Amino acid sequence: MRNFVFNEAMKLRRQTLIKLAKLHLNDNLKSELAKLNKTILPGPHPTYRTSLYHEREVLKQRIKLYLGLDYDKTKDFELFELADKLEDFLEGNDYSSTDKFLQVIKEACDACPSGKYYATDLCRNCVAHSCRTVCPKGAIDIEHGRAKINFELCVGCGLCAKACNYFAIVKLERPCERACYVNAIKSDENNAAEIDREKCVNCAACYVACPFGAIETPSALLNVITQLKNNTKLKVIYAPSIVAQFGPKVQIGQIKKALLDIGFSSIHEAAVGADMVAKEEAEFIETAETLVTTSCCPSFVDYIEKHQKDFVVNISPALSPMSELAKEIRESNEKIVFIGPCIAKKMEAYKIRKVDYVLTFEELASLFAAKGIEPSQLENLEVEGSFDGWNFAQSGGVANAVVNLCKKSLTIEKMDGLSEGNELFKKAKTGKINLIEGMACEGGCICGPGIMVNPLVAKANLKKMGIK
Amino acid sequence: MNVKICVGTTCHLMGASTLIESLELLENDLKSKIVIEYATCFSACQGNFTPPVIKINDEFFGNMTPESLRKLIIDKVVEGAEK
Repeated sequence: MRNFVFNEAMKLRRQTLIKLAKLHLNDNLKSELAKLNKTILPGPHPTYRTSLYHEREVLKQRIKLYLGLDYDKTKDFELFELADKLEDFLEGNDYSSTDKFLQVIKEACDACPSGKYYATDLCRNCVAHSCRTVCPKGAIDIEHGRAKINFELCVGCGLCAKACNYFAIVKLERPCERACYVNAIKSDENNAAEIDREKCVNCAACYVACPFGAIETPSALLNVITQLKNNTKLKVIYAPSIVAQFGPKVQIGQIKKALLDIGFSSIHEAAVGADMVAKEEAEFIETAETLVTTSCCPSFVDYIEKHQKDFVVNISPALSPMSELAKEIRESNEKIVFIGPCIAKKMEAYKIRKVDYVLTFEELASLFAAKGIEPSQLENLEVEGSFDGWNFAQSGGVANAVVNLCKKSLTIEKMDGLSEGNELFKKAKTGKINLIEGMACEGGCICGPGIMVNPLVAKANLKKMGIK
Repeated sequence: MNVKICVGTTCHLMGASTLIESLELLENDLKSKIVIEYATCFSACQGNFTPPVIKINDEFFGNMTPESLRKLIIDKVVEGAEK
């Protein structure tokens, strides 16, 4: 399960989102945008990096992504140029990000060294020199009283690191690369991270892992605010992982009330869609001869499509709870907003076209903060969905719900996190499995990239959910 | 000693939940000397305090982190004992 650490990169993202939302709500965005990076980082001393000008430049690029723009298309724009045509940008135009849900801000990427072994100054230049003895390539020299690795010869086997009794040899890995289980992080010509779209399944593990906050997701927050200001009818579907996300004093019914107060027209639980999906999948599996894989996690579906192509035919015909419910409640002249912990849902919204906008919990909370709304002080409305439906939010929940509804006895396997994918699908080729539940995030949606609280807290709260 | 943690929307976004978690980890003898409460927005961050904001007895403290909160509580408990 994701070790949830609240860090400065998250703080900066949230501060910036709140600021942008506030300005847009008060119609001041156009006049303030040009100097927004300076307002947030006033100087004279840098806050995050060694140079104030560097961090302002990075923030400028961040702001563009939070406006929903595509990094590659807009990286050379200055903020004042965007301000001139702001209305266009916020309605969605050629510069908007459409099909890239994770983007690397090159100015922010530190181009960390990747996958190489380094002898650090913990080396005591011992007598044994086991590192040199075990190295099959003779890549270790002793220079100035300490081991030094010759990168021309090193093949990265790691034997030296294992042999050293002082742990003086370490492998430096890029956090983004290490977090990515589908090897989608490449390097560009400047050694900065680059995402291989052929491999990337949009799980956003890199976004969570990068200590520089260099991997960002284009936000739909300002587009949603624009729609609210235009009085467009907007329906909301929120994910079951919303439990506990807004702190210990906020009930889910109060979040519903807060959403209605902001101006959304009606609020729906994805847990209801989950109940629909569980029923559909249970019925389908009863008659199915072959393996079925769940379709609720868009990143898991993308993983099968890109990395386990033999199993594409096994993907459940049911849509995800989000898309299933959206199809059900869709009315003309209305738009649907999904609120969840997930960045891959942005991809699903783009591919399946049942939902118009996807926000993360972080983005929604930024909207609450900008509006000065305290959900804990509002009326607690009634919440729908069964326990099993709500339980879709954690790993194991989907399979459980299907088993509870299915009359046939089932052999089930779970992919709890993309790291388990390879092994599991190898097993699926030989063994007889009825159902594979797949979650790209280890632990399930409560561990997703857009969460606000420790998954353990959310997990405990899930137990109390739903009509039993 | 009364420790109020603001769990209003802004403080929550700025890391109040990590403060709550860190309080769970306090040693028992420290824990027994304080009363922890959750509060909704002191409206203090509109003024001079950066969220997340907390209140110990009648005094506000802003820009708290788990470490600074722990240190502050220890200081205040020691101060209280000396009086």
